[in-house]
Amino acid sequence: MSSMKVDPQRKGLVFSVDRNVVEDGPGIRTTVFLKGCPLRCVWCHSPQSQSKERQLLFIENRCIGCGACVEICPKDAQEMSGTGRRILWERCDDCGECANVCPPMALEMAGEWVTVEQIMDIVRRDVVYYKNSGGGVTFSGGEALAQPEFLTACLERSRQEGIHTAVDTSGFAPWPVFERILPHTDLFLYDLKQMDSGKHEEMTGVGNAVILENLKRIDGRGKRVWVRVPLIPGYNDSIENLRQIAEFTQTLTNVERISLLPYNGAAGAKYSFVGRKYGLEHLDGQTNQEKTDFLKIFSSVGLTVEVGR
Amino acid sequence: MDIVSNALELSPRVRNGLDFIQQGRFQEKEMWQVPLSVLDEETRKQTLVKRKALAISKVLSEMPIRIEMYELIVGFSVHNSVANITPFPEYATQEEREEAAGKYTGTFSVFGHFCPSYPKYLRVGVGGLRRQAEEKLAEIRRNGGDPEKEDWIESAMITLDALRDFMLRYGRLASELSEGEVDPSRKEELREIAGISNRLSDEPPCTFREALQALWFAHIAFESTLNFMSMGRFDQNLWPFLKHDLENHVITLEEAQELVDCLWLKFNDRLQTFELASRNVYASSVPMTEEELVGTVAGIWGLYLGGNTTHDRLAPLQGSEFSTWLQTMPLSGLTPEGKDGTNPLTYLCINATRRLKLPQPSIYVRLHDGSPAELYERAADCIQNSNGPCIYNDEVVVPALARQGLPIEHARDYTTDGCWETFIQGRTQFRYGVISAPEALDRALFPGRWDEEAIPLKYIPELDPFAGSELPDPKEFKAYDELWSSFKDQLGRYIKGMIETADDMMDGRLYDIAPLPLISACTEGPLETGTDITRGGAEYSFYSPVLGGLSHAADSLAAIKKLCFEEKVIDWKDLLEGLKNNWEGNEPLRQMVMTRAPAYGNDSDDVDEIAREIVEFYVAETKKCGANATNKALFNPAVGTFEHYVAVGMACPATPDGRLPGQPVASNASPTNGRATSGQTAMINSYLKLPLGDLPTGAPLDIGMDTRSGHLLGPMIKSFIEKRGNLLSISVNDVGKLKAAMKEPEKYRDLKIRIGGWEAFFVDLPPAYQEWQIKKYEQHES
Repeated sequence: MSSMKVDPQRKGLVFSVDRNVVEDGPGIRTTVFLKGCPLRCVWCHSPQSQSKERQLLFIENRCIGCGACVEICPKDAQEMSGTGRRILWERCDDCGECANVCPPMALEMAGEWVTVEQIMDIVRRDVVYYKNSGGGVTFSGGEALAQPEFLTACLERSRQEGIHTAVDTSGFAPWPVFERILPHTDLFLYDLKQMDSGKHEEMTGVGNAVILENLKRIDGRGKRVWVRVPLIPGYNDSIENLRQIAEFTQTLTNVERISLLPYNGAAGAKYSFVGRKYGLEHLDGQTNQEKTDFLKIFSSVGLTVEVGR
Repeated sequence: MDIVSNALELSPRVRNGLDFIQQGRFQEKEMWQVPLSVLDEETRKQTLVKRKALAISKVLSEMPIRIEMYELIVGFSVHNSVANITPFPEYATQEEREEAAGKYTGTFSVFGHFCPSYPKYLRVGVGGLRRQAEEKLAEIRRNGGDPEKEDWIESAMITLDALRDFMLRYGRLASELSEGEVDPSRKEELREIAGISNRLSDEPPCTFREALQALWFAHIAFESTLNFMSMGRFDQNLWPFLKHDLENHVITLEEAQELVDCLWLKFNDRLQTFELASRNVYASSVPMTEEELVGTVAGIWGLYLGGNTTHDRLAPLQGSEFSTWLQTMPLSGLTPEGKDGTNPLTYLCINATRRLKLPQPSIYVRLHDGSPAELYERAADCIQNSNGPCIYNDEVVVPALARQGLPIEHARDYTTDGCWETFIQGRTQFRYGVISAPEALDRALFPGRWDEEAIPLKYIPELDPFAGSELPDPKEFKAYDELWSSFKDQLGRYIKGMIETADDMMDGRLYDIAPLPLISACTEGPLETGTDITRGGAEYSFYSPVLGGLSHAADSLAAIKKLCFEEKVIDWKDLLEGLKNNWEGNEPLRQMVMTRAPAYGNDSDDVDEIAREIVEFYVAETKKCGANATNKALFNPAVGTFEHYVAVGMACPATPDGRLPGQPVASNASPTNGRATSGQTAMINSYLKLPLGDLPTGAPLDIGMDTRSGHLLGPMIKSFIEKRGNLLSISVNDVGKLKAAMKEPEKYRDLKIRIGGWEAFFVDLPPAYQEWQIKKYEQHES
């Protein structure tokens, strides 16, 4: 097993650190969101998490129309006219000059290069809450495993300080990356989206073979796993797909629970921030009856299942 | 000893009572036409304290009494309220009133905010107190007499007799109702009520039920005669009675739960929506001259340095007058001997609050390192289900009180006053005043404009602490430290002014116009010495200067320090100009200070350090000024606003943290709404950096939690105790629900919210408070 030295000055690209999070594993947690993801799920609710570069966000509700951005933009990408405010995204090169001067931070840069130590400085502030609640730190994304060096260093340092670690992953990463983080990870939050690899590729951009294989291997190493299934109406919430997920999960020994994540009706909210259009605007969330039916698929075969948020 | 499950069902009786109370909130209450005066040719010859006693007696003998069919504990308070100057029989002559007004006091300069010695009252009964008074009177006379003391004791005896007769009135009513009752079991209950009422008029209570009834009679007597009172350490004071009954198989725990539930219903008799209550209360308010009002309010608040000195400014009070009446009680906590005080009654009380989901009484749980895990769990569970209790940390509060010079066993016997202020049960005369930190900052930023403003201290010009205050011109400041000194100078003057005024008010002038013979007779000290508590007869006298608007002062100073003097991204003079115009036409600048500077509540050391420095300065100044006071009193600092966060905000111009003029300030020691965006753990961490061990009166942190994290309340509370927080008020609510409730109030009549010791039904609140609440929960939803 490789045990590399933690380099506290190693940097990673992080787009958010949330505290007092109660959805990403047991207890009270701090979740660190790493920027960049190899998948392109059509329902992704964090479009700003996908690119592995810093990028400009425009949160129009905050805009007070002061025009500071128009003045400063070297690419003439900011436009303000009688008809309103708009960004010519094709001109923007994410230089961030406008974000520096925008008073209400309607323009802000997503992603900041931070050191392991900077992350740890935030994470360790809540140690007492972790201890009393059985919580800890969760690394999520984007895809956390897409920044293997930084992730490994953060996990190793957390564990050295006695902090429980969880990794929230799509599972799409080369096995050696998993191999490296395994010794420093207490719990995996592992997405299973679609058992049909062709369909999986259609809706996420990648097939599922690597994902399933990695999960089996993690399981074989005795790691605790919580499986998460985002329920996207018409995409993966068929009885058949869920039954297959249940069957697959039954073959594993260390999956402690399955969280079904009902469709987030606000998933499209942030697409305008990055100048994109959300493709699934027409979808509604699952009904309570559907959720109950879905739960049964798992509980009837003896799996621990819950509806998460 | 067993404890009763929290899953127990409500008894049919309690269910009926609950329906009755809930319906009553939406019905206009009939206001009793209080007798106008006790003054006549005969009484005019008597001393003022005796006339006050006669007025108390008149109320207790004439106020309407009734018993509802579901009640086991009986007695209704009149529907009045001291905060709104409701009627009380006139007992002072015109000359006396004029003289008092000249000293900034009036007949309504009563304060409530006391806690009688329930341990003593329950031990000896009203008869025992009467006999003690008689003996003291005889003793004074044997020793050559003392006309003033004799007069006071005779007055106290008048009020004790009035309390006795009040109980007998209920005894007679219960007998009459019993005779006319056809249902045999209710007939028997009424007979028992009559027996208990009659017995209590002389003897001390023997059983748990009798003790509850004795406590309730005294409480409504106080509340009907101009004083809002806290309930003291209820579970500690009443447990010996319950324990005795349980050991002798007089009662089961289930029966005891029903009795506690019945008492809890009584605390809510007066509940009304804001609309109904304000119509009632203002319609019945006594017309007063401006001078009388000033004197009265100055009397009530000691001195209110937030500008809250006119009737209009009283209007935005969030509603002690319609939803709390200061009926607070701490449960559990350390006993005077230093042991854990948790007992089965503690759990019965928590159950009652959890199951009834009514705003009253406001319960608190006192926790410490040795509190049982079960208590942590029950408290968290109760908060999740009923938005109470608040949590005191005995590990912090007890040593803080002891450091003020109290014997440790008294420090351990602290109780909650009206909102959350601590004092020693049964032994304390208490007052407070609120200082607005952002207002002190504004004085430092704009020395000129305050010269013309109606300064809060104009009513006591000889004590104007701002006289001779020559401040440097802020425009000339070259470094942050110059502003910091100027701010400290102004804040220091507020503290000095407040303490000097409070000290001045303790010279006995309150006794000359607003003595408290009944409450004094029920407190440790006065009957032993023949001295009313308004003359220093209580064992302790506490005065608490309370620092409000802390987050705004800290965030403002942090913004100026960073943006104007360190990074120099904002020109200092531009900032002053923008602020002077209340940010009008300067929105970009206002946005800059809100987005580019750190805010208290995010665990950001830069600004938290400033908040800490402000409080440290404040504590040190309070200590210094308190040491110079002429009267024997403890000046116990606190950080908070109580319910005055709207009023303090109304009086305060725009602040450098981006706050608009007139906007409410943050409540208590909490971060500014909308600025703490890093989660509740960060909020708590910021707060923990304050010198909480030096704030014996309290420093509440108000946190709104989303329903999702409800199950983690227990660990959150445990962490708060371990990390030495002072006082925590958490409420769990769903923002969506609150918003829906504003639109369709009738569907959400049972939605409760809580800040500090204050609780209310959400739909009963004035809209400004509803919006404020929604913001509080929203900041964690981004």
